[in-house]
Amino acid sequence: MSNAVTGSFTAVGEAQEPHAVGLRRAVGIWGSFSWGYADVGADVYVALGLVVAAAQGLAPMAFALTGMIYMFIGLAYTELAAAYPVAGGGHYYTLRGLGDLLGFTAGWALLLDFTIDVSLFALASAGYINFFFPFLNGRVTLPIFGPIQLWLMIEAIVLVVFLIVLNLRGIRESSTLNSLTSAVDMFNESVIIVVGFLFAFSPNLLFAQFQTQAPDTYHFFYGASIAIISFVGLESISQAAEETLRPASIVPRTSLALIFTVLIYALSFSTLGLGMVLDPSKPSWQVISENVGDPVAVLAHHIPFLGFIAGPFTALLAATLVYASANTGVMGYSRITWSMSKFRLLPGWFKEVHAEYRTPYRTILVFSGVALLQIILASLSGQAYDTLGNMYAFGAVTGYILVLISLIRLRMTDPYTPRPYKVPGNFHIMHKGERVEIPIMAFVGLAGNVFIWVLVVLTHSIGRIAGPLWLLIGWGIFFYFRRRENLPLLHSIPRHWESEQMHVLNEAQEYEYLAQYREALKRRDQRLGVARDGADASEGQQKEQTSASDETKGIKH
Amino acid sequence: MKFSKILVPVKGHAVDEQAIRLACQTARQDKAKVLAVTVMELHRTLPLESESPTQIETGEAVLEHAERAARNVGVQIETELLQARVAGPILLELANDRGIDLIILGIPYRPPLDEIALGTTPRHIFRNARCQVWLCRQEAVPEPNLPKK
Repeated sequence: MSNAVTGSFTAVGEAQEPHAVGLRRAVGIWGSFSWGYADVGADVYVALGLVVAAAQGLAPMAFALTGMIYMFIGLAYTELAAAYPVAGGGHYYTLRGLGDLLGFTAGWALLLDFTIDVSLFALASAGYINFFFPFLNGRVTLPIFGPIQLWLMIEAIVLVVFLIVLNLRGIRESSTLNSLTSAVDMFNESVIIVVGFLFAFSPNLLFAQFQTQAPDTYHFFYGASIAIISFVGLESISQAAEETLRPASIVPRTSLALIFTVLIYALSFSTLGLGMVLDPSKPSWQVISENVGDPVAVLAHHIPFLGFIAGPFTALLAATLVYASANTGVMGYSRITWSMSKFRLLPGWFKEVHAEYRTPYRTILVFSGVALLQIILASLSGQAYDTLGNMYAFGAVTGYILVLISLIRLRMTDPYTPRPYKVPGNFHIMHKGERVEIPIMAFVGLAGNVFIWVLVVLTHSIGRIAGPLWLLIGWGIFFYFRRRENLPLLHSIPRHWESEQMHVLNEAQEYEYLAQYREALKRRDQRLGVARDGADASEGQQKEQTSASDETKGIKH
Repeated sequence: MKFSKILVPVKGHAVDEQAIRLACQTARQDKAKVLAVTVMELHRTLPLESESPTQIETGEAVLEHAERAARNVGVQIETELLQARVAGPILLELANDRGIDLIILGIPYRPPLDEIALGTTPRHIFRNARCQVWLCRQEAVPEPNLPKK
């Protein structure tokens, strides 16, 4: 692989040398933001009904509690994505920080989330489509399984099959359309919130619900644990970072904007929903929980003046946005699988690209198959949204715990990589002769995530069985593959992270940070007494390391 | 007006050769340099860094074809192989970086779909390029004689 926009030119008459392939990043500020928003911004459309159904009159508190924990994770992702702008996301950070086995575990947990991203959001898209055809939400009684939403399940399956075909054939979605959908959605959500708070919101009603409609402790914590799904999708920050030009300066800005935008919407909708009269005969939380498939559209339908148009428009927009989010799931598991194969955590079989369509067809078929299976099994359970929400929370929190530990560990093992953004609130320690900064907030976030993870395991009857089962299957694949390839089972394959980091910074055109990184390594080498003959020697060594590293990783030039 | 640097995006169409010839004639007249570029567009299910040997091979062949076409008219050109999500913005970025003052686009002739036939890349370049853009459309292929009823 070359660095090379400045790559080689072939002069006429000379022997034909292979061309260097110049990778070009092109995503800018708005593209980076809307990429993340298309993923995380859609979550509230799915989560609102589930959380309100569980946490009832205290739903805003459940969102606030989880929102605080999400902020810590978001800040950690911001730091890591800006420092390591590569495709692997959480699995890559964990691989670098904690080694192969845990890197695989994080990746496998996030893979679960990407498959559920497809199944749950396809189901949610069908739910919002059914705002116009409510009879399709009806239940059909099946022998053994009892009453299930059969038509909803079939709609979701059709939507996923359509996604599979689109992605297998390499049909490109329009990035302009994505950006436009995100912009229209933010405008629409803002209008609903502003008009709702101005003309329909009653603080007295909200406080009355706090006092009279509070759930028991079990249901509150269940709601809080499921509220984490309103904020899942932070992986998209790292995926966008891989394609963002000058990620060090752009990613922190777009990522922080994304974190706060999503948080504000989640808190606003839950507060507004409980402080509005949706049906005079029953508490608002009950109305929302009865419409778990299209809660935001129902809310929009009840706002004064605009409700008659805002309801259908929101349903249409939500169906589009959550379907686009399901598509990001396909992209997510394709990329993370590619990255895991590259680092030899999964068999290279997954990396195979279709000769005609140029898409990773094996990955798409295998993991889309998993997503289809999830839709069927979850629908047969009778509570499709809830079951998938359980699993989504398990996968996300497992991955996030490992990412937060990696953040702390990387601060100690790799203090040399420039961090354009740092999680605030640090204390200093000396570690192996280096003065390193330890982020207090990462510890707080870690405690919060462990708390949510325990809640998921304690309160989610399906999540506590299916989640660990997913991990067990993954470890089985990992150990089988590593044994077959004669690779270390519990230890990591030696890799040259320094040359990889230089390569990434160079490719991202972050030349200033590249110079800082080289300088930091030089200082370390001088301190350790490693002889080097200046920058040229360092560059020469870099090249050697790159080829050695690439041999290890199986990268072809 | 004289040109100093000419960019010709090539994709493996028959019209590439005509675009390269036009660029070479202009370059000879103006003593300009010609840069032929092919962009391998990558679907979003693959990371930007992923490499496909077969796609690279195809890209190489397209560039070699462009070089041959230039050699036939006695001009030496430079070539470059890029990988990106979409070609349009990348070509313009390259044009700005290298100080390109003319882009020559070869467009295949596709009669039934006039608007669509132009493609997203040429449309993007038309709308956003700072420098001059010349269009070199392939000559119309005569309609085949339909059998008489």
